[in-house]
Amino acid sequence: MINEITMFIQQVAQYPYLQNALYTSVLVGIICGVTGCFIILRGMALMGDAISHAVLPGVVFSYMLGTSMFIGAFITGVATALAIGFVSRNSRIKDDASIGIMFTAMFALGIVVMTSLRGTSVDLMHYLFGNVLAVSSANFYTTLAIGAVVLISIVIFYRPLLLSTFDETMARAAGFPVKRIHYMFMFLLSLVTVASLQTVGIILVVAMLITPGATAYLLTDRFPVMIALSAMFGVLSSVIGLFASVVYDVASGGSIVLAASCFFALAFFFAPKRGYFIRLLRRPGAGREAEITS
Amino acid sequence: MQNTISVKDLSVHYYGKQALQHISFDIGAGRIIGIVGPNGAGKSTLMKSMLGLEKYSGSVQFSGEPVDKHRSNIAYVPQRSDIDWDFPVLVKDVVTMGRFVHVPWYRRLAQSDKKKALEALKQVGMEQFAGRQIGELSGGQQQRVFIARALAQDTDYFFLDEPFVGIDMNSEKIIVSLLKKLKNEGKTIFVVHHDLSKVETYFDELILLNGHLIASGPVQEAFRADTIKAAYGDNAAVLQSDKEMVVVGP
Repeated sequence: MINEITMFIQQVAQYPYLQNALYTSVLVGIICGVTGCFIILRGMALMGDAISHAVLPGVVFSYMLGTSMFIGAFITGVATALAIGFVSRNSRIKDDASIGIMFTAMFALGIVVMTSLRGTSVDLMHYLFGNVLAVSSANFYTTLAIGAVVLISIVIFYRPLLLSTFDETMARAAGFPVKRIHYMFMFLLSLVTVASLQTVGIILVVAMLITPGATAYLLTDRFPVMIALSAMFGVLSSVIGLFASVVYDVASGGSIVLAASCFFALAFFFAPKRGYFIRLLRRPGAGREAEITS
Repeated sequence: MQNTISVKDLSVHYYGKQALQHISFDIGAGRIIGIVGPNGAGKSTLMKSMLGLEKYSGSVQFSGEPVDKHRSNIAYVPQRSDIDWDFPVLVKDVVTMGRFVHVPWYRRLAQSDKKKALEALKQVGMEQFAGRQIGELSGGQQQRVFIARALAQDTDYFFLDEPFVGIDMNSEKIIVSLLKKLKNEGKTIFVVHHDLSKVETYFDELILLNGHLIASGPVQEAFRADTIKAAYGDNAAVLQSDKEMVVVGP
């Protein structure tokens, strides 16, 4: 193990493409971790999954037109978020069904157009499953810019975001523009997905959005701490995944997500206050407490 | 005009069904107003429409102006069931949220905001729980924390949705005496409530609902055997003698 780690460090020091990969995956770990905390607490895990799948046609069209795939992905991501809201507001279809309809439609469109382009599908497979080793330095700078926009927005709008997540009705009564906050957040979510395309890929982005945040949620009762822990788990998973992908030559996206899942499993069973085992031990007491509060 | 509320011909439709029909009333400052009626009478709907959170027809005026001009002057306490009690916030964090309205996005919370939050927490007798996660409290304690958040907002209008559901007697007493104190300072306080036994002691004014307005006005006038019967039908029994009225019901 020690040998492999030294080898990994040496290789990263030696090859610029690995440095790009490392910096990008660290960045992706941070922005996914931070955004993910809001996604979990707003109950928008399915929405995260939807937006990430919905960027596929955007990527494919950009590829055909030869423009930056970030632009196309971003446009289809935001359009899907708007379409989901439009359908659920203007019919009796509920949110989750509307999400299911819109994102599969977009994803299907992406697949159909993609398969119509003979001989070029290999590159696009990178976006489906991610390949952090193929990240160029231009990609890195785009990710850096996106990360800056996302993090600065979250810092600036931290209080309205937190309040509308925790108590939407009160936030509306007090005059916070809750709808605009929601769409701004969807916009950030599309950006984050686009930034994560190359490291973990469209299909697994949702794991990076949810798993580190969920792990942190089991470990703390304070939201700022949850954000910090979530970012930390995001970064650790990214680095471990990159390590596995370099040293053992396995898929980067899958390794990153597996690392994140392992952290979650550890927290689920062994978290000091909310872990499975500690709850087993406390069960009689916990039962009584529940009776009093109900 | 200060701190008054005037509702004229307010109606709410849900998918073609009328939830509220032609509600009108006027409320002066320094009153505690009970919005009372059976389940499904539209009590919460009325409160939310007054706050502009539901689509309605008709007009609602705060001190002669639309609600949007008074947003930062309105404190709202949601039903306990609307809150995610697993949310990673501590008691003091929740109360501090009451200050968010008054702090523009480019400024950090000041020491004075934190002090105000702590004072509000003391007023409801919850300061020793400041560092607890909100899910670890009893129902009454949770409700007191949200009342503290409303106090920290420093507003003239208060809207409380079912604040006395599932809470202990001590918490109820603390909250009621706080509301009376606020009233004496000239605040206007609306309370959605369904327990008929406390109506006469808690409220100055009553809005008795069952889809439409059954009675409104000072409690002594609006809370009568016939109006209760009209609102609750056979679900409430009213025993009346010359001087006393006993209400048996929900």
